[in-house]
Amino acid sequence: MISLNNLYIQYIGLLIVIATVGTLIIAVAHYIAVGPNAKSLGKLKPEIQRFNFLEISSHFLRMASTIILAITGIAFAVYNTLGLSYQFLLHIHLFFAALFALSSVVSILIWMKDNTFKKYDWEWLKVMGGYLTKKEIHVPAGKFNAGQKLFFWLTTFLSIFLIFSGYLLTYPAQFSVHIVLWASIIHGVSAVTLIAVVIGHAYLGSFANPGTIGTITHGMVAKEWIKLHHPKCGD
Amino acid sequence: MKQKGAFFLTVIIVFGLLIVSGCAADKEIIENASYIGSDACISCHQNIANHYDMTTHAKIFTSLDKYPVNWDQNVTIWASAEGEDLQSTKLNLKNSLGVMLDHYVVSKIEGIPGFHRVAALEKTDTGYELHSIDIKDGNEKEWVAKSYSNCADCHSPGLSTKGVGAKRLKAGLSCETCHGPGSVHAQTKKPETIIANQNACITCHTLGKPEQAKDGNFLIADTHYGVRNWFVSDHYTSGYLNCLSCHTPHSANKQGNMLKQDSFKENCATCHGRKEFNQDEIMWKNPTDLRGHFTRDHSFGKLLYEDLGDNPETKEIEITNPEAIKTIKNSSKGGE
Repeated sequence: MISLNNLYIQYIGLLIVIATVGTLIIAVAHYIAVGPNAKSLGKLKPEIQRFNFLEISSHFLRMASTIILAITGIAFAVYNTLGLSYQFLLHIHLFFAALFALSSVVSILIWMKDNTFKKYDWEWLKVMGGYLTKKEIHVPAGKFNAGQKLFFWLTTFLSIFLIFSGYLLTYPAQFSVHIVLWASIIHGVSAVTLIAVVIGHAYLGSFANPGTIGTITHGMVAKEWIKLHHPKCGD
Repeated sequence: MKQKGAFFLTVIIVFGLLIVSGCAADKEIIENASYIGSDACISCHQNIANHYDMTTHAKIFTSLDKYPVNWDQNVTIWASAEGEDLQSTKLNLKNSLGVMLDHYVVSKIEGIPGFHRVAALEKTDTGYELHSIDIKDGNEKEWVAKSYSNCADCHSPGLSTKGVGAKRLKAGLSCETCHGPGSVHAQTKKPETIIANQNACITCHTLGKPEQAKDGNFLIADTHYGVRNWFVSDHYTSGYLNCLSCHTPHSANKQGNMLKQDSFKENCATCHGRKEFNQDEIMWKNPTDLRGHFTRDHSFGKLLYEDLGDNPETKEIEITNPEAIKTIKNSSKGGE
């Protein structure tokens, strides 16, 4: 156990660099090599409501809290309190952790049904949604495509791990050293994984797919956007 | 339905494993933790760091950049491994490891094992002056180094500490030198996962133990021996007091001493009221130690200098009185 924990202590900094810089490099490389998908969709007028108020607000809270938690969490992991006192930084982390937990539970519940895998999702996965080619490929997808569904379930598990391990780390005196150390490793590794996939998610929802970003601000997208990206939406 | 079942089963298995593994021994985990470096400790314990720089602990070994000295100097150094002849080598002082107690410049010398004191710093009215410790055959350009290896364990423990993450330690005294590797404490925040009692002090402060002489029935007390006699004192044997009853590990008083009160008298008065003690009597210094290497005796009157039967001809204390030898050997952590 302690050997594993020492490995974690030794390499968590490197893992953070890989998760952040590595994912950003992959995103930039993809943008240069493959480019955005259906660029013309970015210029169309958004007229269909894709996300309702609850979806927009829970996504916004989850996104904002993730960013703050990632920054403060990385600060804890590399023992740099950003010029603030440890206690202050901890309270910021805990406040946004509560928001993250709340918004995560709401997000998971409202999107769980739309993220159940369907047979046609295999078609999307076989061609990786067309993200690996410059050709414009249109594959069947419901409200969420297979990639988004994978992202949903991965972040669901990671969020549960983070919330539960975070709870143990908030009250370390209540648990044994062994349990708290396991919680620390699970918290760190889950957070690093979440940071990496969230950076990828942010890229795919913005630069890689023009016309998508409105989904999380006003909730609207263009008709053509729905037709191309999510033809089976509403089925 | 199947998906939901698999989901909840996974969560139960993962956290079930967590709870079961909680039964393992904590001691092994704490002792084999990783070093994380003083900056990591300070990120939480900022209040301690604020006063620490004033202490002797902070000065036992400092980095070269603390001194306004041109370190980029090539010098010829004569040094030897134990029992061997002196050999010369060229050395650039900027590659030195640091400065011990604002005085000795410590370096490694290629081809000779261990660490060496290669030069000395002298404080002047205008700053610091760098000079040799000794010279060879009257030639001022041929500097003679002295061994540092015996001092290194306590004066620059970071140079020889082994263990996971030991590279994060400063050459001198780091938080984890006394408190042990801190990764588990940093992760769990549990007070019991870090050394925070007098064990932190005695690791270094009892190294100067008296050794049985090879050619006689007496003990030789080594450098800094005085603190070891703490274990003979009534203070220690009472079981009520420890080092931290009088001392402060992270701050200094007005005189620069690591004591809770500003004077010896006030420190004693904390418990003994108005009763006055003669410090030179109950905390005597070795009168034959011209270099000031002998820490004041900490037996608090239990072992007086006169009781030891010391031979003043030697620079280290020779303890020849059989009664004193018996007392030291019988004390819980004294003797050889």
